[in-house]
Amino acid sequence: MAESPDGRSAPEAETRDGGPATATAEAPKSVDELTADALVEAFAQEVAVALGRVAESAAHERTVGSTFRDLWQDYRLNDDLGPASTDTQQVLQKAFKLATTYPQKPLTVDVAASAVGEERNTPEDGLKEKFAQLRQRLNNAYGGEIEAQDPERWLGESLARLAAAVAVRDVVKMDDVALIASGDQTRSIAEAAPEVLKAAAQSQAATAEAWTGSANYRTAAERTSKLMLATTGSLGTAVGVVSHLPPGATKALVEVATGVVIVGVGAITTRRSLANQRHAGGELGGLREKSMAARENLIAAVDRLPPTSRGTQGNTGGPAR
Amino acid sequence: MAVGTMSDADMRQLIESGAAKPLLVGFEVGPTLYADAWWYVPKSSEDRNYVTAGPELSADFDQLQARVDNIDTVLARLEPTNG
Repeated sequence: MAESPDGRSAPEAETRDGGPATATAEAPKSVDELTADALVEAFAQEVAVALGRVAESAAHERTVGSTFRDLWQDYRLNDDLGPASTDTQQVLQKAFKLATTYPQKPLTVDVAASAVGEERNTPEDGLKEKFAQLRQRLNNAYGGEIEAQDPERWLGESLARLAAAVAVRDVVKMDDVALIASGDQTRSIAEAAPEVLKAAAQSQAATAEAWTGSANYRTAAERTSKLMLATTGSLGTAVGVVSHLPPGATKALVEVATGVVIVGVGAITTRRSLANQRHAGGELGGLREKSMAARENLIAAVDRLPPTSRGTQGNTGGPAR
Repeated sequence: MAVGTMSDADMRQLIESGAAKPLLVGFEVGPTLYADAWWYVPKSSEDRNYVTAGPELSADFDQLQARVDNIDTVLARLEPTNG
């Protein structure tokens, strides 16, 4: 399984069923679609972590499966997640199937991950380790183990965010229907996403100066974090749940989403190269590697942003104007 | 269905007054229900004018609306009952 230059498993670039790195005859996705996919993935990862918390906390483990199954159905995610293109989404869909088929059996993310591995006939492909790394990554970004007062409720709310993200993605995929995100600046997701790429490139170029507080570096990181907060904030506002997130979890989501988007945007080069499109190399060629290398620095920079830029500012109010 | 058009500013005013309801709250522009019809801004539009959706697109929006509404319903159920 491919790993990013920082030694950690890239969230989706290495997936085998339609993930960005394995695109072949499939039509290249738009930047909007890649961004929407990345957001779905970010919230799917949150669901995976929340499901783990429920499994760890449940007094009666047999209720985990039925709780997850009922919520999954209630949000009508049965058919709407689409073809699972990432490991996370495949594992969640498998968890739902297991909970439906064997409602009395204990359900954990690891159980579902093992089942997916067995299905692929590669049970030792590191899926369980990948989820352990994901949990660790979220915890690191959060600054400790993410604890929710009520894990079941967190699971319900994270599934709501996933369902909302899927709805957003469905609109984005519609032909000729504009969807323009609100935020500090009004612009389309397609307009905003290349800026993430640009920001990653800028921060890469400024890496040498990063730790001395380079203005360019700081600006790039700030833009990235604001974009992600604005976008996740919009999704959260759509379902009115972000204010219920465990304190600090927004920042953790930004960390994950930033990484996912950079991987997703990097995939554009792969797709464009596969399609032999002109002008692919000059602007975007090789940027994925740079983006991945810059990721750690972006995350660190988000940590150093003033509270007004990185808190839940974009998530607690009504629709931003 | 007759094709109507409306400016982005007019639609925003209708949303703010509560007369129109966007499919996805929190987005500056997106599919919006007004006067029992779905309105949207085509990607190809340069002036951001809303137009009415045809029957097929309206059916898609209806389906999405049902799913989004359902999210709120389930979330409300998750709210702790404080007696």
